Amino acid sequence: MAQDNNGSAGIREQIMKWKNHQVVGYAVAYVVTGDILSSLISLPMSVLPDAIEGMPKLKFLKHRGWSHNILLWGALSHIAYLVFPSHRPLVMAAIIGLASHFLCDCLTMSGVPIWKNKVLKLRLFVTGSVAEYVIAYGTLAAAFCYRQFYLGQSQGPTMENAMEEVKQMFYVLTQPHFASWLISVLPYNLIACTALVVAVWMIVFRELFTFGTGIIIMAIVLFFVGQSMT
Amino acid sequence: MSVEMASSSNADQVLFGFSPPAASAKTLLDAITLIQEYSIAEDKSPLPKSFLTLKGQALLFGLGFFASMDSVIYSFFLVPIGMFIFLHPGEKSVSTKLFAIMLMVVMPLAMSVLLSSLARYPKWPKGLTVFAIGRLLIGILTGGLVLSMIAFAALYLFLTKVMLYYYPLWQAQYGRLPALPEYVTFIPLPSAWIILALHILLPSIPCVVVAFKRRQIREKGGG
Repeated sequence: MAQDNNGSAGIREQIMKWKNHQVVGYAVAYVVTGDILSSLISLPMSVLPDAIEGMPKLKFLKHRGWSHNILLWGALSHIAYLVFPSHRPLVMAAIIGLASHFLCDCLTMSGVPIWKNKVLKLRLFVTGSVAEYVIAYGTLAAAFCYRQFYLGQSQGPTMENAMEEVKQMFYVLTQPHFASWLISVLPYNLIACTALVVAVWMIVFRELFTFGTGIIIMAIVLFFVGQSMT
Repeated sequence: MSVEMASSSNADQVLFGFSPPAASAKTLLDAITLIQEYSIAEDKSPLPKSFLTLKGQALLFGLGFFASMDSVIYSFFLVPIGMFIFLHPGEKSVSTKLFAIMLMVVMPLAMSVLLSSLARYPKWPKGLTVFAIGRLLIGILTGGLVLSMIAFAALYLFLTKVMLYYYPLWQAQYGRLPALPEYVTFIPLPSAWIILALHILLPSIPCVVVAFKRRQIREKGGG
């Protein structure tokens, strides 16, 4: 494993695989919340600290620098938890996804910075090794076993349950008052017209035929959906 | 050979090394790029028409023809939808009508706007640029006429054969098929006329614009 932080290859080797972060994040979020769909928010959140480092304007950032500061993220998570009281399960899943990222990084050889030069590292596995995959997928299996068998939910997740949860999550969006409010503020016809112009500009002036055709279809669908809602 | 060298030389030297119509040119933007190159090369003096080889002529004509084909194909699908919105019973807002009109005209109109930009390039009344623009516009007009007539025939056949002849037979055979609303049968034929009219009238706009620019150049007495 490369020890330097300067070369891009060295940095790449030190980064844990994003899919493993996501697997662990989803598993832990599912264990805590017990909600299959809400736990999905942990997928982007569990790679957010690494994603910030990958932003083009922040290329100068050192890997596992301030973007991996546990105190900073802890404070932000606490604020989010207080600011969105009506969406606590979702916020909780997001925070868990984020926390799982630091948990996984703590287990690696290079660890996570706590404060200035203080680094928390448990040196359980080397990033990119087989142990990383074993821990990630083992956590996922353990999480489902815990939820499905230990807590007595012997039935696995079904499509009906998933659809029911989707309906609950978007309950607000399906309310008549919300739909009428959306129609009143959304000039869907004008948006469709604008999309049409953009699409034709793409096709004629940029020769992006597939993309432009897709936007034309979207504009027509938006128009008819808007018509059917009024 | 660089453009700077070409513009500072006489016509014969310009011909040497200047890129002829590229075999890879396939779209309308390629054709316009080519015309831009001719215009830059004709900065000091007009180039002879013989510079545009047979392949170049065929290339520009074909590019125009197939650019029209794109426009006709899009119109073939979009104009009936626009007609459907117009003929659908009920009160329609201004934005609804606007969307329907845009669906019908936006594609050939955008192509006409793009082609009207060609009027910037002629610098001599009888130069190579004017000749190349003429070839391209003739290709577009021919393509628009021929292909929109094919679209007309297709929509007319759809109206007469499917909607008015076959569908009532299917309906009698399979009782579950819903009856077609009366306004639906009025969609294909007007759509066909609109496609035909748009692809004759709108491409003639850049022709008029280019002709006007050419007349201006001639009145000024050259480049």
